[in-house]
Amino acid sequence: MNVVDEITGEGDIFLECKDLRKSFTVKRKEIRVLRGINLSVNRGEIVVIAGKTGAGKSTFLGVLGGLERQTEGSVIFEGRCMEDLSHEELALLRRQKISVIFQNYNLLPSWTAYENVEAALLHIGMSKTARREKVKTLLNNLGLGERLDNLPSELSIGQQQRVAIARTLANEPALILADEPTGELDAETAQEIIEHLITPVREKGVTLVIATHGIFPLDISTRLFYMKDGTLVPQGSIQQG
Amino acid sequence: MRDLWECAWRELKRRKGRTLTNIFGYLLAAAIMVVVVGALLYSKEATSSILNRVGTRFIAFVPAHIPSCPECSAKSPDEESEGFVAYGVATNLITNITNFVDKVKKLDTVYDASGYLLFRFKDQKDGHLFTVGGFDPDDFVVSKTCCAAKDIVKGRFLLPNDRGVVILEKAYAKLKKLKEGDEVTIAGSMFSVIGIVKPPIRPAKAEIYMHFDEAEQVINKRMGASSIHNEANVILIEVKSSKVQDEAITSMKNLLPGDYLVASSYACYRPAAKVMGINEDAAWLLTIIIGICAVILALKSQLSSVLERRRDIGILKAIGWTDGNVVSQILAESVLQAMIGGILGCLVAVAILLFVPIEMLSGIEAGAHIIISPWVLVLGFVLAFLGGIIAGSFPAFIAARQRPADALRSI
Ligand SMILES: Nc1ncnc2c1ncn2[C@@H]1O[C@H](COP(=O)(O)OP(=O)(O)OP(=O)(O)O)[C@@H](O)[C@H]1O
Ligand SMILES: [Mg+2]
Repeated sequence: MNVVDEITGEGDIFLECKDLRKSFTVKRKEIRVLRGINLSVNRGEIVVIAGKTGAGKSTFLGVLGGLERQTEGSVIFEGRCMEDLSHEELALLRRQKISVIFQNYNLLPSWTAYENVEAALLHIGMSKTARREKVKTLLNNLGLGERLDNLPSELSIGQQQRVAIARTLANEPALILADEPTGELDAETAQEIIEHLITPVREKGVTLVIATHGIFPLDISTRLFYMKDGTLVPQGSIQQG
Repeated sequence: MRDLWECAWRELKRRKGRTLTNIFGYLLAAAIMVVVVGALLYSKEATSSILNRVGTRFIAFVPAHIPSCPECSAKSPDEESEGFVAYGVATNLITNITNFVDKVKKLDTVYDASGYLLFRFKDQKDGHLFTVGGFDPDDFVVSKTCCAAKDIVKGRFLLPNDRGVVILEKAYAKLKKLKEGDEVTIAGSMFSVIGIVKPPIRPAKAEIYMHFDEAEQVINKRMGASSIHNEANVILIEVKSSKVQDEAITSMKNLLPGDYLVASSYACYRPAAKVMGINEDAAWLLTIIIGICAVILALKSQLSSVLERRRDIGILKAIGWTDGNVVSQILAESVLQAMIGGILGCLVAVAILLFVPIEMLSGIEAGAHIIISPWVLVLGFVLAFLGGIIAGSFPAFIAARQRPADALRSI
């Protein structure tokens, strides 16, 4: 499969949002967070969504990952409307195709690094030895081969984030949704994390959607959007401009 | 499946304090249940073994006031005070007694039966009343209902070939100042005293005991013209167990058409069975309450553990665990604790039953012994298991209902 062809291939729409709306009702007051988002993403793209805090980036990624249901509009993933899927089907979709990295709370604090990564491989009928092999390889590749038995609290933020990436990659997803993956990291570590994230994009044609509030090396994106008033404003790609 | 249990075990090890508390709750409930059931079984066996000592025998007779009883004859000497009695009431005689006793002996529920003559005489000299019991000393049932060789306090018991001898009830001997070797006169016949007995409470006691045929002779002497032959006024009966006594009485009554036979000495054993030993209902109630408490305790603790792990569960769901995966995880944790608690509880209970004198607990001392039925242990384990499922279900339901986005936002 030619990855480059896929990135540029116009017709291969992988993920599509049509007039996506999401509002929350708090004490009878409606908070309209997403107000009609239209977006199509091709396979292998890196889409960066920037925006001020509270703009709705996390909400948007949550809907894309099936963690949250939209109020209106639709999300089409690989040709299937996600709103038609049951909770069960959405969970299976996350198990097989969509991986999410969260903004803050990524790891189970009482599980070791190894166990946190392994969690993604439980319940899929994989043998224990195969699991062990895979988890070790993933953590080794991220430079955490020596930290398998450490609890998240015994790891630095950057290391924790790498464990989260290892877990994300464990299922070999087609789509990675990363919410502020470099949020609290110094520039150098952030750069490392981003390298780890875009490697699968380069090697396996994985699609990456990243949310950030700005301090992010935007130059890696194929497309950049700015989220404002609940809509996505295209900023063009840094590479082009 | 194995992953599930391993994961559950890991989770339980992480929350040692909570896990141990839950396990202890189940342990307590299972142990108490098994001990209570064990003590209950013991108390039942002890009760029936005591009842078997007193509740397996009775006597039957036809009261004299019942007229026109078939296969009966009403015979009595002239004087009011003398005649055939049982329990202080005048009785009729059952004719062809050997035949009737044979029929009684053939009943499934009856162990042994025998005809018995119980006649009240009036002492010609001092006017005192006394009863004479005539039996066959070889019959087993006699030893249970009248007196037995082991009740002898002086002298010896009647032997099959003895003639012209009697044994006396101790109280009567004392009243009359009689000793072994002394002579007594009954209806003009002389008998020598060969033994004194002091039997415990028995339904067919008399003051003087002698051979059946000799009793027949002295009674006939007193009766004059209306002599008796192959007749008796009392039937002594020993049943196979106290449980079948009612049945035995019913079938025995049916042998004599019409409601003529009166069976005695059985009505008291049922209330006795009720007051003896542990109150069964209270014991069960106690066990059920403790069981429910253990489940509620475990449920509460499981629930707060689930609430504490709200975010963890959110993450697991976000990385593709289905609601079903989460539910089985929580249930596995709950059931694992319950099973460990159940097994330990059964072990503790067995130790208690073996080493603590349960006789004290149940308030009965009897020849019975503690029974540790494997079924009770299985029951203890199964109930703990079910308790685990019940305690885990609600928290699991809460965990399953939780939507990952909500869980993850709260930081
Ligand atoms: N469950 C909810 N109930 C009510 N309001 C909510 C809920 N979730 C999000 N919001 C609101 O939606 C808006 C967008 O929140 P969101 O977390 O998506 O912002 P964000 O762009 O990710 O911000 P940040 O950059 O700080 O992470 C906020 O105003 C928030 O208060
Ligand atoms: Mg956010």
